[in-house]
Order: sequence, then C-alpha cells, then structure tokens
Amino acid sequence: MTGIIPNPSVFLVMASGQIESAVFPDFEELYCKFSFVHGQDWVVTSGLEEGISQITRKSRDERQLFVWNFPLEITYKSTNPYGWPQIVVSCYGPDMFGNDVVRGYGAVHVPMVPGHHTLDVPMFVPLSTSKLQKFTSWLLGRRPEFVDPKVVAQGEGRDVTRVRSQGHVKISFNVVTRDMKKLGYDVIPSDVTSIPAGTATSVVN
Amino acid sequence: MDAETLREKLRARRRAMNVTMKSDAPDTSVSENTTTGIEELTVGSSMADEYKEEDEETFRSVLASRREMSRRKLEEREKEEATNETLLDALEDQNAVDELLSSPRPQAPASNEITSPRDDTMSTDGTPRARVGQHSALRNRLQAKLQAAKRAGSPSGETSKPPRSRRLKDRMDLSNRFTETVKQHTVMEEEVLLKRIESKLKWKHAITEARASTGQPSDVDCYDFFTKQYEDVAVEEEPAREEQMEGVDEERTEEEETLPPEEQPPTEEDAEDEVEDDQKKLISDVIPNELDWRLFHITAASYPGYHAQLERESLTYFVPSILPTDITKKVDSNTQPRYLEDEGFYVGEKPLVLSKNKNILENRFLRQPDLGKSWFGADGEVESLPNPVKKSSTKPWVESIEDVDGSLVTIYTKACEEDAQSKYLKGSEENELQIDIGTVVFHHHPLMSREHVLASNINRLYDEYLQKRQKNYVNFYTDKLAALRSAVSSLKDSSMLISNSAGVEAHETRINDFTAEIRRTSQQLNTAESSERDLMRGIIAEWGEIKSLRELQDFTNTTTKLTVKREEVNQHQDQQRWDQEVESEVREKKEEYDVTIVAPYKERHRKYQAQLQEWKRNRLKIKQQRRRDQRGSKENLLDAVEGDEDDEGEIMISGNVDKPQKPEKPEAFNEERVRIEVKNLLLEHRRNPGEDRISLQLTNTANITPVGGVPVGESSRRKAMQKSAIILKIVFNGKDVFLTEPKTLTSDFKLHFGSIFRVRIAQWPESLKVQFLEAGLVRNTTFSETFLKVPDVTVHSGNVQLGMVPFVSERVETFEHEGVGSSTPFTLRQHDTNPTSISTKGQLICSVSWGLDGEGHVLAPKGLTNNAADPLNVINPSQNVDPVSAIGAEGIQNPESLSKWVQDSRLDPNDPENAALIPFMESRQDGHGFLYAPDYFRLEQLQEEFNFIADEEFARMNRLRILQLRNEEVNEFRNMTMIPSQEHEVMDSAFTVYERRLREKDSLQVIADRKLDRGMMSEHRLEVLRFRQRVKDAVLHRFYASRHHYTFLDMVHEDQVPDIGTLGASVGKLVEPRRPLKPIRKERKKATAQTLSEGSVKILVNLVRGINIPTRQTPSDVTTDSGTTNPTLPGHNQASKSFLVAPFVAISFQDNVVTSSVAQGPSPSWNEELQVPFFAPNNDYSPSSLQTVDDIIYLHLFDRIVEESQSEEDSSITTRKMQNHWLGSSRIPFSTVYQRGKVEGTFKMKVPPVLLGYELEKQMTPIDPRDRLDIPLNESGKGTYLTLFITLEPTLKPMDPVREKFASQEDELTLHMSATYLSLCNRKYPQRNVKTTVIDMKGESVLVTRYVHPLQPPLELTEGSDPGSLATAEKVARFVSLIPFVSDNVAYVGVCDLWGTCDQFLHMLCGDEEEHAVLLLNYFLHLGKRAYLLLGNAVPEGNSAYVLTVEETTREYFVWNANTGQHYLATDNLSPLKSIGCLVNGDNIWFNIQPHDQPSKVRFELTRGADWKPFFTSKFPRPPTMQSVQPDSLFYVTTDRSYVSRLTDSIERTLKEKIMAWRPRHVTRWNRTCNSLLLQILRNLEQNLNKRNQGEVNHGEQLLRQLGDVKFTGFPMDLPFTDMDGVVSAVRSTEVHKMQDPDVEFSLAVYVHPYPSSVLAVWIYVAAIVNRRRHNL
Repeated sequence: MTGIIPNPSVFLVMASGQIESAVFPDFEELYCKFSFVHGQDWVVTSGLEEGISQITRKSRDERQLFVWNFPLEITYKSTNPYGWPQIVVSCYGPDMFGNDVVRGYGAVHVPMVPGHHTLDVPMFVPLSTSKLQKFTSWLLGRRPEFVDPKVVAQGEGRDVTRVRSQGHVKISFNVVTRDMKKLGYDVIPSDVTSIPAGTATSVVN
Repeated sequence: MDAETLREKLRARRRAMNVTMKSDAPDTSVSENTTTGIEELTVGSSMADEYKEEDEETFRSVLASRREMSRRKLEEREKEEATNETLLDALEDQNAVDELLSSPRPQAPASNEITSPRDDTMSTDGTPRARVGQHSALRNRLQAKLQAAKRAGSPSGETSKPPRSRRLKDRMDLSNRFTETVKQHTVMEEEVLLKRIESKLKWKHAITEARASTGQPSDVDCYDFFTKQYEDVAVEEEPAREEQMEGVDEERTEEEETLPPEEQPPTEEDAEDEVEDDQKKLISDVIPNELDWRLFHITAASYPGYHAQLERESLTYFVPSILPTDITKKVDSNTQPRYLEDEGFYVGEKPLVLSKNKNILENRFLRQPDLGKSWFGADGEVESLPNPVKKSSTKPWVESIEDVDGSLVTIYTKACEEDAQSKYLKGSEENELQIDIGTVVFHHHPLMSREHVLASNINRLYDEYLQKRQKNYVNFYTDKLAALRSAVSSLKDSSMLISNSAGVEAHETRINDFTAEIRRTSQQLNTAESSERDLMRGIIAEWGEIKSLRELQDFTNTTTKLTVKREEVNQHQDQQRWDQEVESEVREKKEEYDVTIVAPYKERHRKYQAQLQEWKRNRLKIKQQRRRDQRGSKENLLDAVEGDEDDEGEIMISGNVDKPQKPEKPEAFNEERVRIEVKNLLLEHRRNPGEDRISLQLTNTANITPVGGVPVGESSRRKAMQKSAIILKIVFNGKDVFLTEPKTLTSDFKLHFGSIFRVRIAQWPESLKVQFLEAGLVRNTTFSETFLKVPDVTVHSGNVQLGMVPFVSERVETFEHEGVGSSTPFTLRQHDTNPTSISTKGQLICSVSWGLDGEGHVLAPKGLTNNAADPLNVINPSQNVDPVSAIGAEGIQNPESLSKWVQDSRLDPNDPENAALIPFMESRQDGHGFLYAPDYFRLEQLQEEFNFIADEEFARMNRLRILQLRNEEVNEFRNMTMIPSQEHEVMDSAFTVYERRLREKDSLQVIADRKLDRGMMSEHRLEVLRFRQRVKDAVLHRFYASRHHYTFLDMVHEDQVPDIGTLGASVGKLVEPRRPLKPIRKERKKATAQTLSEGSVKILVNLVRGINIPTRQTPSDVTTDSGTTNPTLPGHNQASKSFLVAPFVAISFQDNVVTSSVAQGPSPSWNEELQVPFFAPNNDYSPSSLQTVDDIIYLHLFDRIVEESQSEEDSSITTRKMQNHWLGSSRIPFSTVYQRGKVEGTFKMKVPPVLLGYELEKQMTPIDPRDRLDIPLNESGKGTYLTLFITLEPTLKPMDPVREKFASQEDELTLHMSATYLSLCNRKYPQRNVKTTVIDMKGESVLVTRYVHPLQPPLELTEGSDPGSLATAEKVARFVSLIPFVSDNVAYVGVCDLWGTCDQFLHMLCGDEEEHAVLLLNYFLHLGKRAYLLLGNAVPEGNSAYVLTVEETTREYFVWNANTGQHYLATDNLSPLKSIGCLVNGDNIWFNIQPHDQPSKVRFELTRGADWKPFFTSKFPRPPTMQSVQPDSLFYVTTDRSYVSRLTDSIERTLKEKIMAWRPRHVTRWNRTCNSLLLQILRNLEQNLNKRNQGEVNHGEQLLRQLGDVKFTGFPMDLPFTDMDGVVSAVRSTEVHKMQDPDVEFSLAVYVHPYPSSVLAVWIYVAAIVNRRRHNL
C-alpha cells in the first residue's frame, strides 16, 4: 500500500471518531452497542466492526448527558459507493426492575465528505403491538426488540413496525478517503465545483 | 517626528473617525464614505453636528467619556517627549494586541447581536449580521493581524501597509474557499477565543500601567501614531484596492477595521458633557475601553396574559373545524352545485373517509388563498377519484397536454406480447377459416360515367322494387281486407240472433275490433300500393333520364334496359270492384262515425241535460235568496253579522252562476263528402279503375356503343377502366394472408372473384379484414377496407350463405375524362342546379365460415364459444382484446358505424364499462384512432434526463450488468462481493455460468445434440430436465419474491402475552425436579443466518450401534481354503477370528469423509459422535439458500481387515496391510436433516445381495450372554441396521413454508370441508401426517383421493404369474422402485410439495415418495389387491407415503416402501415406517385417531369410528362423479434396446476409465475372463431377484470354481439409473479401487436391465481379484 497507485481499483474510507454522548431524558444508566453495516462491495480492512461501550450514568448537571466517548475506528476498502457503510447504534440500560431493556436504535451513514463531522442520531424503539403487550413487557422487562439491530440500517420490512423516538446520540467522525476521485467519485464540494465546463460536458456526452 | 505634527495628524484622524462613526452607525455604508476620499473626510466634522439621533444618546455619552479620557492622556503625553526607543519597544506587542482588540470594534455598531459579555452599548442599532460569519471573520482577521504585527519590524508608518494588503489577500483567498462557509464555530470556540483575549488584556493592562509609570506613550498614542501614517497612504491606494476587492462585505470590514471609532474630536456638546463625565463615574471609566464591551439591558420577562396570548395565537393558528363546510364556498360563486349522479352519469364509489376528517380537509382547503378551487369538483365534494375521462394518462400532473409532448421523447420500442401463449390456439389441431369471396359490386366508382351513375341508381331502385314485388304486399293486404269484411258482415248477420245482453256486448266488441283492423289494413294497403307505385314512377323517371342522356351523348354506356309490361284489365269489372271498394269504405267510415263521434255525443248530451236541470234549480234558489236579503237589510241595517252572512251567501251563489255549456252537436255525417274523400284517397294511392297493371323489368340487353363510336372523353374513360384493376387482400389479425388476382373493371362495375380461400389459423381470431387494393404500376394502393365477421362455431362451409358486406371509400378522385370521380361534385342531370357528390361505395358478396375436415368435423378452434349465445363468456380471448366485442356489440364490424352508434347512443363517458369506447366518443381525426387509444402512462417521464449513461452503453458495460443482476438476486450473482470498480477488471468469465444456464434454459437442444453423441442422455430425459428446470425456476421466483415480505415477527422480537397456560407452566417449573429421571429433549435455539460464517455449521452424527452386520466367512472356510497359505500369523488370526468382523462407518458429505473407530463383531456399539463440516453454497446460510442444498450424506459400512505378514528376509519386520471392505451403505439427503432438524432411528443399510467372503446371515449361536439381547432383533428382520442420530450444530432455522392459497378446481364446499377436517385432525394429533388436498404440477390443489385410480402395470411384469401373488407384487414394486427418487425439497426448494400424476411421473422419471407410492398403489389396485395409500412418518425421510396392502386370506397387513421396493409386515418393529397418519384410497381418507400410531399397534378396521375418522361421511358424502386426475391407462414405451446397449458400453467405459484414474500410482489390470462370468451372474441376479434369493449362496462357489484359488473382493450393486455421475459415485464409494495389492486384477461387469418406459436397472459388479497362488509363488 505504499506509494501512489496510479490506477487504483479500490478506494479507501477511513473513519475515526467517537460515540460521544447521548441524551435520553428519562433514563439513568445506559450503554450502547455499535456495529457497522455495509454493502456487498465493502470490506473492512482494519478496525472493529462491532463494539460495546461501558455503562454510563447521566450527568448531574442541567445537560443530563450520557457521555461515553467511545472511540470508533474503521477502515473500509470498497469498489462501489453503493452500500456506503452505516453505523448502527443501539442503546440499552436497566429499567426500574433492573432488567436490561433496549432504549433505542439508530443508524446513520458514515459521512462521505472528508473532514470532521458531528452527527446527531435520533433513536427509536419498536412499540408493543397492544396495550396489554405493553403492560406485560413493562412488567416482565422484556420490551419488544428488533430481531436484528441491523434492520434499522435497511428499509425493507420497516413498514410492519411501529416505533417511538427516545432520544439521540451524538457521534463525531473524522473521515479520510483515498482514491475516490481517481475512481470518478466526487464527494468534496470543491471537486464538484472545480470540474471545468469542458470536461463536464464530455462526461455527459 | 515632533509632537506638533503628531497632533496635527491625530486631529485629522479624529475627524475621519467622526465621519466614519456617523456614517457607520446609521446606515453602515462605510465603503461609500471611505472610498470617496479625503475631501469628504474633512467635511465630515460638520456632518457630525447634523447627525442627531435619540438612539445615539448613550452611545454619545460613552464616546464622550472616551474622548475625555484620551484627551487627558494626550495632554499628559504632550508634556513628555515620546522617545523613539520606547515606542519601538512597545510597538510590536502593541501592534499585535491593538489590532487584535480593535478588530471587533468596527463591527460592533453593525451588530445588535450580543457576541460577548464585553460588548458595549454602541451596538444598540445597526444591521444584524450573522453571528457565525462574524466570528469566522474575526478569527481570520486576528490571525492575519498577528502575522502582520510580527512582520512589522520598524515603527514607521509604512510597515502597516504590507500586513494590511496581506490581510486583504488572505481574506480574498478565504472568501473563495468553499470551506469557510461550511465551517461552523461553536460557542465553545468562541469562549476560548474570548478567554485568550482577556488574558492578553490583562497583560496589556499591566504594560499600560508600567508605561504610565515610566512615562511612555500610551497605547492610544502609539496606535494613533501609526494609523495616522496610514491615512496618507490609504488615499493613494484606495482606487487600486477597490478594483481588487469584489465583495462589499470584506471591503467594509476592512475599512471599519482601519478606522477604529475610539477617537472623535471634541465638539461643543462634548465639552459640556465633560463636566458631568468628570463627576459621574461611568462603567466605561472602570473597564478599559480597548475591550470591546457592551452593556446589556436586562428587563424582566413579560407576561402578556392568557387572553392576549390566545389572541396572538389566533392570528397564527388555525384549527380546522370539523363541521361541514358551506357548499356555496366550494363551487363557483355564480353556479349551482352539479350532481353528476342525478344527471345520470356514472359516478364511481368514493373511498370511505370519516366525514369528520373530510370536513377538516375541506376546511383546510378553504383557507387557501384560492379557496382550494382545484380540489373541489362540480358537486362541491373533494375530488377523491381520478377523472375517468382524462385524456393524457400521465401520472404526474402537468399543465397542459403540450407540456407532455414537448418534454417527452417518443421512443419506438417493438411491442412485445406479454403473454404470447394466450394468443395462440391450444393444441396442434387444424383450424381453418374459409373465406369465400364472391363478387364485388360497386354502387359507385370514380370511373363511372354519368350514365353509369344513373344506371346504378336505377338498379338500386329496381332491386328495391323487386323485393317489394316479391313480398307482394298489395295482394296480401287486399286479401286480408276482403276476409275481414266478410267476417264483419257475417258477424252482423249473426248478431240478430243473439238475445241476451252479455252476448250482444261481446259481439259488439268483436265487431268493433274487426272494424278497427279493417281500417288499419286499408291504410297499410294504401301505403304499400302507393310506395310501389312511387318506386315504379321513380324507376320510370330514372329510365327517362338514362334515355335522354343516351340521346344527348349519342352513345350507350350501359346495358340497362327497362321494359314495361302492361297487363290489360277488364274495364267494367275493374270499375265495379272499385265502386264496391268505395262503397264499403264509405260504409265503414259511417260506422266509424257512429261509433267514435255520435255515441260520445249522445253521452255528453245526456250529461248536459242533467247539469242543466241542476243549474236551473240553483238559479231559482238564488233568486229567492236575493229577495229575502233585500228585505232583511231594510229591517236591520246595522247587523253586521247578518251582512256578513249575506256576503257569503252571495259568493256561494255567484260560484254557481255559470250556465252549463251545451255540447256542440257534431256535424252530421255527410255521405257525399266522405265518398269524394275516399275516392280521392283511392285514386291517389291505388291503381285507378281501368288502369293497366304495370310490371317493370330491367334487363341488361342494351348494346353498348363500341369504342369507335364514342367521343374522346368517353373512350379515355374506358381506357382508364381497362387499366384499373382491383385486388382484394385478406388480413387476419392484422397479418396479410391472401391476395387475390387483380381483376379488371368491367363496364357493369361488378367484379366476380368467385374464389374460396382457406386460412389455417394458429391464433385466436381477433379481426378479419378485407382490403380493397387498386393495382398500380409500382404498388397497390388501398382505397377501402371492410371488416368481416368471424363466424360462430356453428357456421361451417356446409351451411354458410353468401352475405353482403358494404364498403365505403372516402378517397377523393377527379378525372379529366368522363369518369365522374369520387367524393367530388359533378352534375348528374342536365337540369340539376346542385351538383351531386358521391363517394365510392359498394358491396362485397362473400361468406366466412369454418372449414370442415374429411369426417365432417368443424375445424373451429376449441374454446371459441358461440358469442351470440352467451355474450358473457370470456373464454375467447379475442373478446378481451377487441374493444368492440368486449361490450357485446358483436355485429358491428365497421368502425365508422360504430363511432356513429356510440355518438347516437350517448354513452356515459364516466362509466368504466365504456372505457374502451372513449376514443369513439371524441371526434376522430384519423381512421384508426380507436385502435391506438393510449392505454398507458409514463411513470418516469424524466428518466432520460437522469440517465447518466445511455441504455445501450449500460447494456454493454459488464460491471453495471453484474451490479444489476446482483440487485435482481440472480442466483449466480446474489452473494457476489467486491465487484470490481473498473470496467476492465470485470472478467468476461463472470458471466459464463449464468449465460450457460440461460442458454440451457432457452435451448436445451444444444446440449441435447452434444450429449446424445455420447449416448448418455436420451431425448426423453432432456425433456424431463427442461420441464423440471421450468418448474424450478417458477417456484424459485415465487420464493425469492416472498422473501421480501416481512411480517412483524420477522422484524420485532416481542414476548407473547402469557396466558394462563404459560403462567401455570412457569409456576410448575418451580416445583419440577432439577434432574428429572426421564429428561425431555429440549428444542435447541435456532441459529439465524447472520451469525453463521463459513465452517461454523457441522453435521453431528451420533453413531450408536450396528445390528446384524455381515460377518466374514466362517473360519473353517478360511482354513480349508487358504489355511496353509494364509500369511497371517496364527495369533493374530485368532484375534481377528474372535470378532469375525471389524466394522466401522465412514460418513462422506461434500467431499469430506469422516470415519468412526473400528468396532468389533457383528453387532458393534460405537456410541460415537462424528462431526462433518457443512458448507453452504456461496457461503450463504440463509434458509433460502440452504433449501437448495441437494447434497447427500452417505453412510458406508466397512470392514477393516488387517493382514500382517512377516517379511521373508527379516522376521522382525512385520508388514501390516489394512484393507477396508465395503459392506453396505445408506444415504440420507441433507435436505431431510435440514427440514426435520434431526433424524434418528434405526436404518436399514443397503447391503449388496452378494458379498463375497461374507455371510449375510448370522449363523453362530451367540456365546456371549450379552448377545442374547440381539436375538429378537436378528430374528425379526434380515439385513443390517444402523442406529443413528443425525442433527445439525447449530440448528439452522428451516424455511418457513410459504403459505399460499392455491387455486383449485374442487368446489368450495369440498375445500371448506377439507380445511375443517385438517384443522380437526391437526388439533387432535398435530404430529400425524394427514393430507386432504395436494398441489399438482399446475399449482392447483386437488383432493388427494383423485390420485387413486387403478392403473395397468407393464404387461411384462404381470405376464405369466398370478396377479394376486406376492411375487407379482414384488416385481411391480421393484419396477416402481427403479424410478429414480428426487426429493421435492430439492427439486422445488421445499416450498411446496408437488404431486405429479402417474403419467407425469413416468414421463419425468423422477419423483419423491408420494409419486412412487401412488403409482405402486394404483398398480396394486389393478392387480386386485386391497390397498391404501398410507401417509405417515418414516425414517429417514420423515413425512412419507407408503402403501398398505391387506392380504384378505391371511389377514396380514403389508407396508410397502415404494422407493426401495421393500415390504414389511405391519407388525415388524424394524420397518422404517414409524407412524401412521392416515390412509387414503379412491373413496375416502381415514385419519388415525387411535392413541397409538406405531404400525404394530394400529388396528386397521377402517369402519371403526373410534379408530379412524373418515373424510367423507354420511353427512358429507363423496360426490358420485369424482373424476380421477390419473389417466385411464398408462402407455409404456418399450425401451430402446440400442440405447440400452449403448448405455451399457458407456457406463462400462466410463467406470474403467474412472477406476484407472482413481489409481494413479498403480497399474490397473483387467481380468477379462472374469468379466463375462460376472456379467452372467448379474443377469442371473436380476432374474432371480424375486425368487427369494436362491442362487446367491452358490454363486460365490461358482465363481471360485471358475477362477481357481483367488482372493476375491467385490460385490454386485444394483441401482436405478439416473445419470452417469450417480453410478460413478456409487462405485467409488465402495472403495474397491483402493485395493493396493500389487497383483490385483480388476473385473467389472455392467448389466442394464431395461424395463418399460426407459426405467432401467443398472447392475454393476466390481471385483478385485488377487490370485493367491501367484501371489504366494
């Protein structure tokens, strides 16, 4: 991987950052799991695809923050921006009976543009199908959960679910890409604007 | 520089500042001021006075205080000499900090936002600026300034210039950067910045103090000093800079920056303030003014009050009312709401919306500025349905139709029939239409001369005349009239005789009826006769025209000639009859008069008399009353009441004052007048008395003047006529089918074709059209066309009659010559003033019918229904296609008349029923409009614009193609990862597999050719392959589609609400024992596909034990045969003898072989768990992919023989030879394990009938007492068994069956009953296998009993044996078992279990348990056995189908496994059948409701209601006409002998090659003598198969005898033939080839026994022979 490859066949996307904090108004303790979901043309070359954070308590000031500062670092190799990686975050925490209960699911794409990004991911949980279910699930501490947390990164089948929003998680990313431009993908605004008129037309033709 | 100049400059600077401040604060247009130059700056001071604004009060005061302070400082400084050195010292820091601090200041007036706590009150007004921009600018400027300050090495004024220009440049650069706007600064950053500033300030403060103490000039002085210098430079620089700068914003901030606002020259006002300032200490005095501070004005939060809040809210909020809206608002103000439904239009059903919601919606619309007019329809309702008569059917809304046309590019793509099959007729039988084209008669033709036109007219009239004549109305009515009259007269006569009143009344009514009838008839006679006379008159007039025309033009053009025949009549008689007629008419009129006028008059008169009497009486009363009144009024004038009464009475009387009208007396019957009238009428309408009867005859006998005698115009017309030829073209379904010979026009304009065309059709007839072509030199031109009606099935060539079909041409033609042309005006007659214009028209005399074949059958397509009889029948697909026939207007074939009809009938355009006719309702511009009515809309009309690549290029690019295919989830590409990013990196080979598959699908013929050469695959099998592939594709498609349907359960894991049962169970869990004595196997957690990766799935085989494994031949045999020569040591020999056999099991799956440990003895107990890795195809562990795994787990039983031999040279070296002898095998499909989760039980191993060197039957009496346990097992069954438990680790989630409702041909009741029956059964015993309806190959559910139907087995099987005997049954079972077995799970991906019928099964030559069992059952039924289809559970296949036979005589129940051909007694414990679910025969289904379902415990009396629950009961009896889906008889193709011999050769050759290939390091010798011997044995085996294994024992001996003293390993195998690979792998699995003895010779015999219908039994005898003698020598 040393040196400049004149005609690369893959491009690299490196994202590092943190799951910084979360705001969940009603809960006391939370931890979160993250996992990256990507398309078929993507391969993780280094870094962790999944992880689980420590449990954190809500801050005692007026911000009421859950701070994790949980580092993320992942490098992808890909041939096709289709299926751009997404980070799926799911938060869990004990409820009043001490059962571990899911507090939110959320997903967001890793930013495409290089640079520093701070993302606010709204979180939601699936709802019980009936009032009775809701009560029993509350009582037994077994709330409805997604069969696979990764479904929040896809659109298929979401129509059958009903969810409620729960709070949000702040994630910061520093994104570095390599060779994307060489493969013809312009993501940086200056790239897009700096295409001379002549080449732009030739592309169209 | 001295102090004086310094001050001078400072003053100027202050003036400039003043100007800037003023101009800055109010309007912030700094740039204007500064760029105008220094002149304005000087004037600026006066402007400062003018500038007075209240807002600026506080600002001023602050400024004043500042000024004051700086003034004081200046005065101080004046006293001291500023030294250059100190100035220089301070400069660097000063410059930096100063600029740092001053930078935000110029902005302060321009901002009313609070940027920091130190912002001062200066910022009370000004334009708001974006906070973000301010800060970014601030930071940039700070950075730039710091840099500039560092650079400034010298104190001179010039030093400030380069940094500034640099700053400018920096900023310009920055402004171009995209990133600057992107960047956002958080509050945190801001705070950091401010803190930095603060810290610097502290430091600065310290410096200032130090300076003050040392007498150095203060900051302000320094600053001013340097900025003063700047003024001069700036003036010069200004224009240049202006050019450079583009953004006004930058410019302004730049300028502001350079002009800090601290100092202003003190004015008079300020001077006054100074005094106060000295006394009042302002905050500005405390805080250093360098800090850009501001003052906050804090006010308490105001509470406007609830009602005020509401008021304000009401301004912005709108709560739509739920009350209904006013309808007048919704329609145009000047119109009334229209209710289309009331007007009779079709109005579709609107979707149901709560009226509340609808009202809310309407109220919202009404809030819109245009009152939401576009949302409301004419009836004031929200338009919730699409407009049915919308013209452009594009989906997106567009302004007008032009928009659509403008933006869309019409691309012609070849129309493709989606379902081409349905267009074609089924079957290959001949369907023939016969089209008889007789004559074409032109009623008008452009080449006609005037005479022709007239002649055509006269012909037409004459035709009409002839028709009239033929019907002979006149005579008919005359006769009728006469008969009626005589009847009336006779009635009148008889009326005298009737006395009683009722009779008279009836009589009179009859007479009246008759007279009315007479009147009607005479009128009809009048019209009939007059019309005939009119016609004749017309004909004669026309004839006169022709004659005069002929005379005029002096030649004759037509052959028409009219002959008038005159029939003399008897004058007198005629007159008499006529008079009589008149008389009777008059009489009738009189009678009519009597009845209709006189009688009512009399009645009225009678009434009048009565009324008159009444009136007169009234009159009298009134008069008396009046008289009384007059008296009364005189007596009491004041009595008002009386007066009132009088008035009333008067009114009452006056109401009756009218005298009744006397009815008018009717006119008397004037007989004379009536007579004249009648006479006139008769004269007008009827033949006059004495007038000759005339009859006309039109003949074609006139002579046409030959060409020589006609003028030029006429002769050129005739020439044109001769040149003109007409061709008829017949078009069927839009395709040309026939073209007639060209026919030249004749002078009578009749073309006789007289030919019959036979059209053999393969498509449903949709349209049949005849086109009239005019033959031209180059090409023919169509001038007209007409549609012929496709006949009903009943119309055939035998009974069809010629009919007339009119045709019209609108083509305009004019000629120079005499031809009158078409659709062009010409004068027909000389004296005509208006020219006539006739278009070409005529009639085609033709007929269309279906042909008849030799036997008189109508060759009409089947399914073409009699449309006329049943218009609702839609089997004929043409009805769906043809809009005309779709509405039932069958007879209308001419589109013109159709459109006329549509317009006349005023169809409702809104009714969807009439959708097909919409095009007709609009004015048609072109003749074909209706055929191409837009029936589409464009979904993505802008797609073209968004395509980043042309479609053709897209198709060409391999990479995009792969991506597309992957997205479509095509099997080969579904799990492809990392598709290369560059086109050139995509290998062409990526498509080879896929394309091959496509090719195979398209044309299996290609492989057919290839494979047939090699003699491997008969055409028959290919067809099977193709069929299966098609079914598989269809099922797969359905399956993948269903995968994308998610249910809630698929998405969300939710605990079910616990009911009382689960609660009880959870409570019960507390008390249940920790370690129960009888543990129950718990369901293991199913692993989901996501968590699985390669190699994580294993097949666990728990090998428990084996039973009855063949043993090596008895030691005595060994010793006698080879006792002396056996090289094995006696000791080892003893050891090996003690356990007779050393069996082990090898499990092979997916190229992996796992062996168990070697056990000992014929009944070994391994108790071993073996793991075989499992690899999913494409590494996809999703259920859909696993479903398709068709790998088979093979279990092979081997005997390991260890031979030890001591080396001859050195006795200490012992050579050990290990050899594995194959004993038998068993196979379990992976799909079974996967579907069922586990497979457990005791399996019978398939052991070859002959195992040389082994004994199949155990003959030794067991010595070991433990072996006694095996005795019952050994006695009960022959054969070798393995006890196994197979499962997957982790358990994979099996595919959820796709529950689909299949179409069915069963009636609703049966389906309903079947559903109830099933649910009842499943509720009672959910584990038991029961089926009522099954899915056939067409995907329709069929009642299972329909599959049972006796079928004739192949004759060769039953010949020469008692059909009822067991032997025959075994033969049949063997035949059935030889049909290859393919699980539906694999073939059809387990989604559905398809049941093929027996003929399909034999045709496909593969099927699973059901097909085998059904075929066997049907054979048994034919053989006269009592047999049932048994659905139950069996090992290893799980839910399976067996056949149960009942031996009537012995009361024995046999269970037949149709796959293997084996049969077991029902009481046999070792039979693979483990449970019985239900029994089925052709009459009924019986579900087993006994507590036990083991075959041995089940009672088979089906009549016992307590044991068996029947499907058809007395309540729901079986329909008597239950047709079987099976054919009546099966047709067995005799298998091609040559094919069999070719196949035998092929197998043998392949096997030999393979065996040699498997032994790459050894020479493989073939013992040819043995081959023939083995072949013989194989033949015998096949023949003796059913003879209870007689010859087997001795055949080994026979072999040995033949071959001498050899060591012989080998065995015959028989297997059904599927394909070559199966045979090869079967041979390989025996591992005979692994014989490593250097002297080994191989022998191979292949025998293929052909059964009918290409069912083949393949026998293979593979043997390894070691010649012991040679070996030892």
